[in-house]
Amino acid sequence: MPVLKRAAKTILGSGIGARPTIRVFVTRRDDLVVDTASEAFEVVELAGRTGRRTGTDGLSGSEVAETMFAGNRKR
Amino acid sequence: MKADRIEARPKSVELVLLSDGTFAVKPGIDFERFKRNIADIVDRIKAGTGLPDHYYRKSAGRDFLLDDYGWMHLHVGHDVDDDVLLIVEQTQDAVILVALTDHTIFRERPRARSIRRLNSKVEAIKSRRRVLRKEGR
Repeated sequence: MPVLKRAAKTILGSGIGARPTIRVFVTRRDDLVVDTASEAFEVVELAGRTGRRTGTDGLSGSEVAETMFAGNRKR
Repeated sequence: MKADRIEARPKSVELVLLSDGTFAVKPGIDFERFKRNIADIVDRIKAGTGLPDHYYRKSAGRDFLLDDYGWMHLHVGHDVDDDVLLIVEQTQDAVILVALTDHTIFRERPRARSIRRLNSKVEAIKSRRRVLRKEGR
């Protein structure tokens, strides 16, 4: 099972929909899309902790560029 | 937003990352050659100073990337390789870096075939930012 789907289930309970105000969509590519008001915030944060953090606040331009380059260097 | 220039006010910068955690770079493009200019662009976006003219070119015809997707193409290789482009989407409070590619995307059929699948990731980022804004964070 994709890591984000597993993570979402861990937070939300045994099945998506266990907390009815939250709607979580996990795509085949292991993307996580959250569509809700407030309670999904922790899921969004979790997505960041699993290495898919997309924000760059606090990073300089050089650090952002290096982050982008470092990922591609793995190839 | 479909502005053809990055607004001169401070914005966050977000990255579209592929499933393996890498940034989308067209095969054959040496990312390292463009790191300095990417850093410059990011710094200017965050500082809100706007970008110098050399990152822009006047489109010869209709810019379908901007019209159809709301994506701008910045000439990130203006002093290295003028063919190389940084594709970005600008929102009210952020600029999302989508991919590093070149002008061949304008000749692809369907248009921008190689990068248009990234649109779902851009939408995911925008959706997350909307949640954060609602939360006041």
